[in-house]
Amino acid sequence: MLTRLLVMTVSLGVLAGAGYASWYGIGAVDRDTGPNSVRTGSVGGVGFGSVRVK
Amino acid sequence: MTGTVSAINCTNCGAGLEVLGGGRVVTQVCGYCGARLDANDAYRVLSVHAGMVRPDTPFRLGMTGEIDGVRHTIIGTLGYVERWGGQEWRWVDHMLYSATHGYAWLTVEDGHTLLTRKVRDWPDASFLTAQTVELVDTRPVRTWRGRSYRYYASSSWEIDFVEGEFTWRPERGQRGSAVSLMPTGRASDMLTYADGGEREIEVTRYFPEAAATFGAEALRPQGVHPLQPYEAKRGKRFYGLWFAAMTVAALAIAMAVTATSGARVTLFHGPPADLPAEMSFEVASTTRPVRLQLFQDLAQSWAEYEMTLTDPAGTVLAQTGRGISYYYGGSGEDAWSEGSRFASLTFEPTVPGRYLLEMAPDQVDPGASRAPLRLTVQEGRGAALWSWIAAGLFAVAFLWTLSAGWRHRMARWKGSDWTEEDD
Repeated sequence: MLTRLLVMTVSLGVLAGAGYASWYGIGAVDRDTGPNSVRTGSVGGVGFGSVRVK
Repeated sequence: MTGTVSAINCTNCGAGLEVLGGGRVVTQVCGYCGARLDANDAYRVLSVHAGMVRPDTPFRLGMTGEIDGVRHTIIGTLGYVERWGGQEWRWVDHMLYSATHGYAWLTVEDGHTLLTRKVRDWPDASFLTAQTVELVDTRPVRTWRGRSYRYYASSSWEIDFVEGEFTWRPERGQRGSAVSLMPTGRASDMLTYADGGEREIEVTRYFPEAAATFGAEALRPQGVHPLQPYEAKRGKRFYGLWFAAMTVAALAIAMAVTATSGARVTLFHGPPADLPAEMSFEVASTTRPVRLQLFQDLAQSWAEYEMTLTDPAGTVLAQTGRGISYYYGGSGEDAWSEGSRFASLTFEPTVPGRYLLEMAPDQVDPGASRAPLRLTVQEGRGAALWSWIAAGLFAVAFLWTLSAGWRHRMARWKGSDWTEEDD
């Protein structure tokens, strides 16, 4: 019974965490955005999907 | 006047030995000195095997128990060993005697207990030996009592311990071979073609209640025995339903996140040279990210764009750039591509209102200047990936629970020495 309770708690936690992260787009926001974000350099070669970072 | 002998003294060492085995016993081996005695000839000493190491078994001579309602007594113990490829397998056979039902075998192997009886009604096809198995191209099959048995494994054994009474003349060092077959599906008995001087066919079944039946110390079975029937663990149904429900819930969340994203609004569509210096768009909600997406139908070229994003309060949220490049080549199996025709800028809105985007081509390959560029904005962008990952994890847990029976059957057949190349 304790194992079932543990499995239920862990899986509900995973579901809730994944749901929260999905809904609010956790991890979806790009690193080079945010208040007062400015460009200081570039990563990647020219013309190959380069992303500028703060 | 006739009588029944219930005990003798070993004619080699004088130790007292019980006589338990009935009229077909021909050999008795003294557990004290290892002397093999001829039960048909006044217990004359046939040979002496001193220094035998007693195998690990909780069963002892003289223990009695009821099997299928019939009283049986343990009358003999044989220790077997099989050596192959530097590995060693050991098991113990106990000869059982019933005054009404004759003889049988109780086997202890890796903590599992098995019950074996001779088969009187042999399968119709020829007797299987390890040599015949070596010569055939397809897995041998025999039909017995209407059921099909497939080849499982061959073994070459050697006796390294003998004690008690037997209906034949076992001795230490005696060798033999056996070919075993098992039915497919859930059935779990084993048909064994035993060749140890005389040829016999035996049927073996899993007998986990042996220790309790004979009042022996309980054993600790290791691993899954080939004859072990599948028993669903407690809660399997619950866990199956639970993980199925979790999978459905995670999938529903993933779809809801995707479905509730805002509409994709086009801010610009045309040649890069026509890009306006400034574009603005309205953001109503700040709870979820906003994505600006660039698409340019490039072929063997690249383009880079400067982007500056300012929120309604005048705070710069991004001063950055995005590059798009797409190259490809080859054909058929050698086809390749590199880069992407898409690029995006996803940001977290600070306040509701009108956002300003300043965007201009930075470096554009001449080939890219002619390809139209499309810029879209979408509010309410979630990250459904997390829910997809959770759904995947729950689905794996569900399938793992569901496949318990199948995994058990795989474990039962794992010890088969018939290789795929042979099939």
